[in-house]
Amino acid sequence: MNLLRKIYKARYGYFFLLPHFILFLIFFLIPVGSGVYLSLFDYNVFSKTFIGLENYKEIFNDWLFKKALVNTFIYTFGVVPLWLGKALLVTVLIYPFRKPIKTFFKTIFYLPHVTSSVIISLIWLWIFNPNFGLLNYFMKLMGLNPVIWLGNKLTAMPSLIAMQVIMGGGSTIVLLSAAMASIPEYYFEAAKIEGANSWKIFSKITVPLLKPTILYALVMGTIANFQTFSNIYVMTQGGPEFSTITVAYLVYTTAFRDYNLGLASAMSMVMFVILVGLGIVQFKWLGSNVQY
Amino acid sequence: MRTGLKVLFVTLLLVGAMVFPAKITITWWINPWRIAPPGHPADKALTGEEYPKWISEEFMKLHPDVEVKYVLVTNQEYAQKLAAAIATKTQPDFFKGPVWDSRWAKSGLLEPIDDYLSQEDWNDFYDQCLKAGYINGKHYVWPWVYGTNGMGSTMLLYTPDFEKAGIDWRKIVNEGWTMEEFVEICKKLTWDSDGDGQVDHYALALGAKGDMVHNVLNFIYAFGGRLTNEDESEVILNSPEAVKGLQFVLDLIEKYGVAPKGAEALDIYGVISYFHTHKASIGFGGPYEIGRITRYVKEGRLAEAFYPVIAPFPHVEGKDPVAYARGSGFIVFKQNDPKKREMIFEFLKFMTNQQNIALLETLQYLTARKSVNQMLYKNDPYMNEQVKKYSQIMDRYGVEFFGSEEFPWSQMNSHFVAALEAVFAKTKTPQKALDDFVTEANKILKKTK
Repeated sequence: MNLLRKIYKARYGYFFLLPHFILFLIFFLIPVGSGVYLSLFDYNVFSKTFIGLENYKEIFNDWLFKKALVNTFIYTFGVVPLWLGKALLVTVLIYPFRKPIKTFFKTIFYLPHVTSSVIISLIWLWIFNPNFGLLNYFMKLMGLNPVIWLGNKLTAMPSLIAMQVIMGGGSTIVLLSAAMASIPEYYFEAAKIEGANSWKIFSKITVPLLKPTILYALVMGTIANFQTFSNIYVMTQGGPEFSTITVAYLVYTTAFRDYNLGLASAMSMVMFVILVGLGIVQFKWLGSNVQY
Repeated sequence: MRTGLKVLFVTLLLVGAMVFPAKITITWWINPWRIAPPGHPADKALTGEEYPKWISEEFMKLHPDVEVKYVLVTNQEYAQKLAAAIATKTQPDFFKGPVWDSRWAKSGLLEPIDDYLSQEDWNDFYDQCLKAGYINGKHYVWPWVYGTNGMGSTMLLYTPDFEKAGIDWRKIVNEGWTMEEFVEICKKLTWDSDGDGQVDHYALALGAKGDMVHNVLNFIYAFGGRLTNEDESEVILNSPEAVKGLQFVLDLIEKYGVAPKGAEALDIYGVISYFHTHKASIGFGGPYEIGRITRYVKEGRLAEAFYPVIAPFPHVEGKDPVAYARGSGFIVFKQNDPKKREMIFEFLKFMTNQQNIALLETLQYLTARKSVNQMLYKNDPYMNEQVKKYSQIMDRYGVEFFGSEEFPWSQMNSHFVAALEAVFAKTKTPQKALDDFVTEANKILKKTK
């Protein structure tokens, strides 16, 4: 009764929340619920048989899924720190400039963000081309042997990570710049008067005060990179020898090449649980000192 | 009075329904086939939309009681769109696309076509085309096209390079070439164009991905390797013959140096690019790939057109060459309304009648009808000759590489690509790579049985 009264009291608040909640329900909760449900079936579009946890058993016994999972972790933890570090560095470097110059740089770094990831992948495919590619052209100019960047097990994943780090971070730079602009100027002035050097100012003032934004960028970046698909699809199709296969790509091939939607749903659920877990860890670990 | 009005109203409705019966709506999907309908300007590039629009409108003119709706679906999104449509029971009435799963027929989702084919059709369609959809004693694919883009079927020779190297290309086209002759000719076609001491022109380029699988499999089959045993109960692609075939392909790069390194990273478009830019003298494919050259020129992707000739793949001394042969066509989903079913098959007959099926000529594809293929390219002696050659090679040496309709090759393909990548990158020997592939393929086979 008490609860109902509370809800009634806050009815206007709930009313305004309702549109968002309905969209969240339709586009997130129901699909996730359906995914959990389908993962318990041998479902191949034309027939559906309940098999309990068999799909989960199968994927944990499948070396390809384990490889995809390891690759996904390597990719995510390869990209996210470098990309976040790059965004932070660029933000700090452009901060002292006048507004038009800052805007110019922010625009430049944001451009890849509004370009189709497929187009970006196609351009990089050309850059990495073993015979006509730009990268090997420079390698030859420097007297080095050309490298088959995407055809070698050892270089394929680092190439994809490098591409993502170079092209990514635009939106984070914009976010961090906005957050940095909200740090009172007198903090920096006081630190300078006290004799703090640039590194001290960066590590003791800038980074701690940017922590909420960094945390947000870290969580969102981890989620986005964990689900990476288009660059794998366009550039390597998981090869060579499955060295760049990721869970998202495996989910795609399992669902739409093999028509095994039950198994693909189980893979998606594992990915979902891992991402929730990573999100919780990141909030616990980095969120303890954050002042919002 | 009021009752009289009601009776009049109902009578009018009934009469209206009889005079103006509801239209039958047929929905079909197709991936982009750049076929030029009659009257299409020769210099205007095609998008793939022209043919389905034209053929639908022509059929509606003949059958005003039918409304035909076509949907153009790209190759990349075809599989997921169709899966989603089947799952939500919104699939088209029939489709032509790059996807096919024999489980659809086994699950009763498809209409068999047997009762709708006339005796003339049975005689006129190629067996390979009819076989394409043969499951449990019924046919499920209405034949339209014979062969594919020619990957794994034939080779393309850039004759100026052959002449420059003093090679009689006509002999190859007419009599074929043994593996030993092929290697010697390839050596002659490999040179340093700019004189910097580095080879920059090769006989051919090889790759591991996409349709390049067909071309590599051709060599494996030519050496006597086979994907499965007779009853398809076991994958046997690691036989000594298969290993020998794959070793030969690897030797073209590593031992003879007639193909560039980096094949593990090249897909079919990378290989085609070598041929189009004259960095390789031998390409892969059939008439469709010749058409690609003129299409690329029209689209501004290639500066100048050239006219290669079609030749068979090389063969082992004493054995025949091999050509990948397969037909494809339209697949009809189960229909509850018999009238609509009749009209769908009427539409398929219309699309594949002698006159309309011949439009495939504009795409440089062979049709599924023997009678029509004899009539193609009457006004173009060069293409007429190439198509004749292609057709002859397919007829004589055509085989299916990927097993019957029920064989789950699509699930094995990525493991075979991984095997080729390992061989070209030299991380595995051909024997080890094929052994590993066979282990994975047999696991998949066991699971699907």
